[in-house]
Amino acid sequence: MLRFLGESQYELISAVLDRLIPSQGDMPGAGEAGTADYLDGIAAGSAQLARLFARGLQDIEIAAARIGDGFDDLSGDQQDEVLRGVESDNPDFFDLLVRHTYNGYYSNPEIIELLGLDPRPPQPRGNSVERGDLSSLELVVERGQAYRDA
Amino acid sequence: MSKSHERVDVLVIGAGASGAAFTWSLARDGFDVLCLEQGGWANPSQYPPTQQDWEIHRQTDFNANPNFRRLPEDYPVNDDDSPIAPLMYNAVGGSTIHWSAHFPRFHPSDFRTKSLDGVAEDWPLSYEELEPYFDLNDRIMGVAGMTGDTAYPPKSARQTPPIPLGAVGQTMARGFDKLGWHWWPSDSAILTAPYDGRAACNNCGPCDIGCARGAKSSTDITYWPKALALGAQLKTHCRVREITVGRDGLADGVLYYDADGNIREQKARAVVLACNGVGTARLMLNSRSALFPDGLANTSGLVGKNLMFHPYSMVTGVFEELLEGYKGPNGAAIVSQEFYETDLSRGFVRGYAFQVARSNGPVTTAQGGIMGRRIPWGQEHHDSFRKALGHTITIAVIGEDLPELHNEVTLDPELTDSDGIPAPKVSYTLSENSSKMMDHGIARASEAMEAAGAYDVSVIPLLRAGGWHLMGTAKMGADPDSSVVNRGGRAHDVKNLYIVDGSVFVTAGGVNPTSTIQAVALHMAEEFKQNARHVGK
Repeated sequence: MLRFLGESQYELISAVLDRLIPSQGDMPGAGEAGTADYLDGIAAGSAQLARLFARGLQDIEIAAARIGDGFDDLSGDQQDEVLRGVESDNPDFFDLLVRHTYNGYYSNPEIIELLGLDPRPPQPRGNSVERGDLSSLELVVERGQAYRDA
Repeated sequence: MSKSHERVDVLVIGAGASGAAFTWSLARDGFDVLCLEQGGWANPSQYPPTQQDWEIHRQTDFNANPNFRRLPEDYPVNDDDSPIAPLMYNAVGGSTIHWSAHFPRFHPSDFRTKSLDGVAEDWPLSYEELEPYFDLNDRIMGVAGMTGDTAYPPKSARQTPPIPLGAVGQTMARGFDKLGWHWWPSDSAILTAPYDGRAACNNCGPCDIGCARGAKSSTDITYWPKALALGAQLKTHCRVREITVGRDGLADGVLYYDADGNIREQKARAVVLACNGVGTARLMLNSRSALFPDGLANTSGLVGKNLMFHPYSMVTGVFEELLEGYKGPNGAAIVSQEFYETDLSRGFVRGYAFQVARSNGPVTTAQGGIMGRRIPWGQEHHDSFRKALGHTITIAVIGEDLPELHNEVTLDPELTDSDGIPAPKVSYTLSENSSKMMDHGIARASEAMEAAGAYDVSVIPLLRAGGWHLMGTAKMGADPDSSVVNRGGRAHDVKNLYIVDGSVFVTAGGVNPTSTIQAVALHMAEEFKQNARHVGK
């Protein structure tokens, strides 16, 4: 159930997200991975963000229409060109779009697992880390006092 | 207006690193002491590292910058005129809630810059005098580390063994060894074994967003439980607006807003400021009266002046091998103090240290960490991301910026907190000496990265989100014309007003200040008690 994005906006933003983080090898694109749901949630929770997003999505549609019909109909290179244009014309929106896209994508347990990491919070299990080899500190000690007497 | 308490003997403002230590010391000797804190108690079981979206909290409610965090207990800071943004946290425990607990001491030479190097001024305190307080503080806080560091006079036994090097520390140590440079496992206020009823660290990683295990030594779980058990009182969500002065010119209490926004008055026989190097100056400048029209205890004109940050340059190396720097305490795995002491042949006076920092989880890596150098979007995204995640080491070059009058905290003419109290404005520039120092540090850190095997090295010359350390704005000294407080923290102008936080620092050293801030606070508490005994308490 969407709370902020209309269905066609959801389609549009998913296509945009697939350009921001495209699919590659095992990694799905950000749109494909459902990151638009995350963006929908945070935009619904902040009037300021909702306003910026609504405006920014319109900017993308307008810029796309200057080249072809809709964003969806453009080639990948053309889509990137549209996004680069919006990035320079509406940097506040674009910065937040990228920020929240990365937040949503990289906090998604499925993505974390694909990165080879354990998709759980740091606590309570923690990690095991090598204590390390301190034997070469002998060399440091051999060089003698490193501070000045005062 | 109502009085919530009868007059207390000692009123401490601020429950962070220094306020906790000072309050505990007084409570131990049976003083009637009350602390007011504008934040509340943190809830460790809810800290972000226990939650699935943990990394995102670093950008929002656990952001180290109050201007981004914007919790009700925070106050804004105008930092437009500073290349470094002040960072702080408001809660019982103060900024020790969100610090990474790197815990070096200042060195003997740091207290004697005038005598040794002809710059700034000597402190009215020496390393030797502070040493018992460093040791006492280490015992209460709990420190992981290893004795024998050649960059210091011999230290007492650390409470627990050092934090693990991991592949990050080990790799960098190899680089330093190759160059014949100093390095040592870092002293960290983190337990690596159970101590004093607290659990050991389990290397979860993100110390900076709260330690849910209580292995990191924040003062809400070290000093405060002990202080309260000894009879100290602590009231949270109390935001002090001003310190009031009686007709005799002595401080007689404070006006503060309680949690509901009601103004209240608390009378006290002595008032102690422990609000950090920005907050203390702000409160003094906000405490104007007929006797002190330029701010309380400010006849020297030095309240708010000589603000000192530590400039940080960040040098990041990328390595072929997976180093897994997202595991293990993220502050500093090891340190190098090869370039700490003055060597004028380098073209600058004083020096800097290297902190070898681990790396971040996926979200923070994608956002470019505290350096904010974000992984690019588009076709190269995955390759850039893969290269970064778990494959980097960052050397944080931390330098000593000497005190300068024009680096200052003033009151912003318009900005206020949610209670309408004028907010601080910081103005800061880095000196030419410091710029040369940081350039030197960047070049040497890059050399170390290559020696350690990095195939790519990138540099952030000056970290904006690096104003962790706030010092100097009410400096101590013997002369009332050139300092605000004496070596006991007592204001020259107001005999029952004390300052016990990093504001009193004469110089900043080139290492993290908290252990020194706390040692100074404990020393000042001792002098306070001596004075109080002398005058019959």
